[in-house]
Amino acid sequence: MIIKAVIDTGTMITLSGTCLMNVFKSFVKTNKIELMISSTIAQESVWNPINNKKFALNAARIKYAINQQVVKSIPKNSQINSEMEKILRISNNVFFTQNGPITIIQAGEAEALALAKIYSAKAMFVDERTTRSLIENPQRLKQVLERRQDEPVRINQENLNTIRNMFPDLKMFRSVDIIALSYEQDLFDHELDHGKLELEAALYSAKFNGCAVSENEINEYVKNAKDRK
Amino acid sequence: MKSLEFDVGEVLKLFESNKVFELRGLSSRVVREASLNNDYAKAELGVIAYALHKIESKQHFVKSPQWGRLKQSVKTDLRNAQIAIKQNNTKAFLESLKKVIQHITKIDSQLGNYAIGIYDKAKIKEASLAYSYGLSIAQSAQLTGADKKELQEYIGATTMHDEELETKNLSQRVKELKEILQGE
Repeated sequence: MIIKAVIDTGTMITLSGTCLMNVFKSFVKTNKIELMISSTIAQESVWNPINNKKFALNAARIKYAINQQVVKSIPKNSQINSEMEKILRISNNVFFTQNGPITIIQAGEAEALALAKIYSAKAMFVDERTTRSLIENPQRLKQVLERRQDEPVRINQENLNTIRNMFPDLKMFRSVDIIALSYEQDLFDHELDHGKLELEAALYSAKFNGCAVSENEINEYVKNAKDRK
Repeated sequence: MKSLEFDVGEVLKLFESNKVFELRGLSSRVVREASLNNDYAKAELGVIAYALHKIESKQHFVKSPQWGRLKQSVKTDLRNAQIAIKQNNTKAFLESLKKVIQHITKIDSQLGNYAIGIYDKAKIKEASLAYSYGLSIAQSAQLTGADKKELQEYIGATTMHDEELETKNLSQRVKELKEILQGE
């Protein structure tokens, strides 16, 4: 059975930054995942950074993965555009302070969510916490906004229900979840030995490349993981 | 929430009186308000305040005659920005800010020691604040004009993700991912 999933630019950047693109490729093929990326996101993670020398190699790795069909770039069309606009409008009118709505997400993230909706994706890979929290735990996001902004935040329940009802079965994951499951599935051998040391190093590398994961989470997972050498 | 007119006046006042650390504090407050209102002009002012703080805290900048001369131009353009916003002339306001950015970039290219300039670093630093306030990475990057990849890497090097508990931990997510992939 083929599983449909969408990947966000941040997750692609983390995986290319950790040099684990071969592990990622094996993960997608082994698990028969039809992995999609929006053309806007592809643009953002490939063509723009390829002009930035610091990130050009990462971008070239992502470009290769797209050319190899590990990830399918979906061209923008009117349906995607209309869903994206809708998601953007609703998501950015969920949380309010006394000054009005807080714009929390941007077109690229809304477009990834639009793809997930149109193609009935079961999974979405997002490394940053805001888009993920909006779908799986908006109360947590409200707490973050309130604590950090030091202002009471009100939720527009109608808009929140609308956005959540658009994705009733969508589960959110991160690059570290891909790395950890790849380890459990013995898919490291395209890049690394199958030891706990390698697992821990790969997870920390993803963290330092910007994946939203805590040290505690990594340490607890590694402690309980079996050495697969 | 302070007005843009008030904020630019504060930046000018602190810059003129060499209150370096106050400039930094001001930049945080301005960017927090910009992230609440999706206010790009305010975000730009916040980035400028932070960049000016960085320049003023580096001795080799402060002691250089080039900076002494450019500093006058920065003050003039901040004053022009203040007048423009008082007259509700957003275009002239943004043009004055652009000139301030040009002065910052110019002095940095002459005296800076890093491949990534002070202004670009300031954009990343202030975008990371916007992310900590709850905006997504892409939205934070867009607000200050920071490079998203640089921002993601910068955030990864902070303890931000250690301070907020995830809804599900790594073991739970791996279990869930396994179930989806096995079609359960």
